[in-house]
Amino acid sequence: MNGNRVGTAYALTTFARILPGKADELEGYLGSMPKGPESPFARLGMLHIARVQIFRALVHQGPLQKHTDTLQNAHLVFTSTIDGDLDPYLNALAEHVPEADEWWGRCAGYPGRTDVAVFRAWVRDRQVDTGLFQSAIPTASVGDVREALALREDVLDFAVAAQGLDAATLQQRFRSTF
Amino acid sequence: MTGLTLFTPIRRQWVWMLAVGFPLTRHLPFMRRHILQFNFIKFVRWTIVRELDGERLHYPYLFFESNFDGPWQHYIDAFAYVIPTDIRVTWGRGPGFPAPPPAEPLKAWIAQNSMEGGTYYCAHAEDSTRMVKSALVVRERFDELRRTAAVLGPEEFKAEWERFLSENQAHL
Amino acid sequence: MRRPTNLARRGAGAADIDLADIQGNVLRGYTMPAAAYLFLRIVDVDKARALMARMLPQVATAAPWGNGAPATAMNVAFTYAGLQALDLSDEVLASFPDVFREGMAARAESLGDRGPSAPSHWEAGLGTGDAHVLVTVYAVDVEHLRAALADILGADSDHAVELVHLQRAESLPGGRDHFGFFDGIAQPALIGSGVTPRPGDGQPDGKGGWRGLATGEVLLGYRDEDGTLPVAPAAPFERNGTYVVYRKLAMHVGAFRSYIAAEGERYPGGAHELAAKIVGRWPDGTPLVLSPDGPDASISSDTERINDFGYADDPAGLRCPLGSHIRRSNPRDAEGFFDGRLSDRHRIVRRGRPYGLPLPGGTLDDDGADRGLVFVCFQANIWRQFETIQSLWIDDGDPFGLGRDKDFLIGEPHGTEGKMTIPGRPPYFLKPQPRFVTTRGGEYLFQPSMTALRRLSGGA
Repeated sequence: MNGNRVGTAYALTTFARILPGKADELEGYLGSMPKGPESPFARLGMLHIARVQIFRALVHQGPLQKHTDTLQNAHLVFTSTIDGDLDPYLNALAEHVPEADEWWGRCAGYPGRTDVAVFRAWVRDRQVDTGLFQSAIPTASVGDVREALALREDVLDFAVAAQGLDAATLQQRFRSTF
Repeated sequence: MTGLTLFTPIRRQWVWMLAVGFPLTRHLPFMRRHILQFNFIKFVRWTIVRELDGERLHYPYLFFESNFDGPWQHYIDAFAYVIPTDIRVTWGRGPGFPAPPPAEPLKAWIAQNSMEGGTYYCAHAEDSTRMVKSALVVRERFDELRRTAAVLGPEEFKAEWERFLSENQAHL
Repeated sequence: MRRPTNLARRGAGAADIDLADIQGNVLRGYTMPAAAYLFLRIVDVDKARALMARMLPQVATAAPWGNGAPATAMNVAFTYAGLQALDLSDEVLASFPDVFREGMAARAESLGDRGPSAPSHWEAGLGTGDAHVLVTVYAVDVEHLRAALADILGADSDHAVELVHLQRAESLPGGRDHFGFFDGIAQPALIGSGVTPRPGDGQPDGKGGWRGLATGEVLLGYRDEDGTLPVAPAAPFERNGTYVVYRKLAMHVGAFRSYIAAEGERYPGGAHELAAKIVGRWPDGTPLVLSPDGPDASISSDTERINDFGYADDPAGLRCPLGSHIRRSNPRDAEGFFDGRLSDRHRIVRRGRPYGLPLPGGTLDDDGADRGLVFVCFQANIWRQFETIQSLWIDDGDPFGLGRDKDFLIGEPHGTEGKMTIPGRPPYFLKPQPRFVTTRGGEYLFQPSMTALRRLSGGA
């Protein structure tokens, strides 16, 4: 039993070895990716959070660290917090995010997206099971969150406008607004 | 929203404690609440990484990713001043870890170990954890209110509306 | 002018800190009612040093006033541009924190200084890099102030400096601010300062009482709330100095009065209560959380009670709204701050004063005159203290569960409709948020110790 799932949310954590000489251009690519609604990740309705980062060196913790680990390669850590199961997410990535070829294409052994089953298997092979995952909103999907935020705004607007209204008008306005 | 990612060594002889402690925390509700008592943390995860492709590592590593509201320094203050024991137990099994309190050496350690760069996407980046949680509560309770609006008379509905506002004002 | 009876009185407690080396206005709120803030640009470094050396004896320290309070007092602080103009070494300059070096104007977006409060609209001399030195002069009355100003400007016969901005300030009767509220009540009690603290001045002690605030939260060179020495610049600035935030805040009194009058007719509690809910105290200083239904003279006239309160028993804000001004600017033991553990590193010492003539009572129309508050505060770390309050607690509401709601009294409403929820059964909503305050300019400064001032002026 792993800690990848909490409620309906799932935490994917993957590590991939970056091919020699590719780390700089990959860093540049990641830094230039659009953010927010323009992000390629915005195409995926089941995705709460995605992070893609590179690390090239391990930080030595000072004199109390007796042994030194030195990385021979740079590594790409790709994590996602999603609604539902992993396979539908991986399928969606393969289909809607060709940009995946940009970061994983510079990593060892990447098979591309043409054979989706092979793509999924490769990503699962990079996966490390999460030890502990916690969500503040474990049973809310991205859609739930968006709907709820919009509704809250509408309720607030109505509450302000309804101040001081008599009962009949209040009820009539409520029925016509909602 | 702020993201913080750390990748830090764990002493080999202590990794079993985390490997046991994490599942324990997963399954004991009161322990889960310990982390999430801070209502500015949206998602957080800890992963033990024992190997990396093409590397020989002496230490196992603890990968930590947190997504929260506000500057990371305030986030660390909360850890250092409110749950220092949890922090010491989780990261203190690594060489050279500056146990809190105090908070300032811990912040320096985090600044040193924090993974920078890359790209970050959140479907609700502009909306804080508290706001999202409040909105979800409002949505659930509002459905009940909507149903009563159809069946009650005006005076009773007004009373229900005011009761709805009173009970949910913390979320509006 | 009589001293307001409910300000902290300087007690005979022994001070463990180096009072003679600290400039006096950090530890002591001078009650001299007239003040002037002179922002000077250094024209000639050597002449400026000589001028400083001549003026040094007039800089007031925190040492006790043996012969009673003087008729005038003076204190000095420097912007980063000023420190650069004094030809300090690159190494020393680089030891100052980023936020201080950037200056307040560069921080406008995160502070909420947008729209009419943006630096592009600021008054001449502020936020442009021309202000190098702030000389603050305090005096018992206007005549003494004028004389002191004449002395200072007259002393600069060499034209070592140029005056780039001057602001006069005068206390209002009864210690009130222009909105009619008794101000300056809550000031942190610094350990070792020798000022007798009153209940509520310090930090919650977790047992229902109060403790002093660690000296290093305000003064460099002393232990802070984290138990360590605060990060400090290189010698000679590493000790007995502090950072200063100066902000000129124009207050639109007519707009405030008319809003309260109009909305007060709709608000179920009436106009007086509405104003108190926005501020968090009644105009006489009675805290809402102790007396939600009306002011209480037995509390407001008692220095031991007027500031002795917390929010632990008012988690929903039914007495003192979660978004009221004083609750935002000093959350004390409010929920989410864990008995003060997450508020105690964000305290500031405020030493501002009102400026401008009062708007006559009874009128709801602004007369176009410039009036407001010169906001001045001291802290060991501008980002952690002033900027946290201004950016996260005033210009936002999320830490209090209020989403994007800003401080309804002083928050900048530009670019948003804004709102305030007054908790109640049912709650009452104020929307949109009018403009009551506009930022007219500001600077970040460093106020050195006397030792550092002597070094800067060329002495040993």
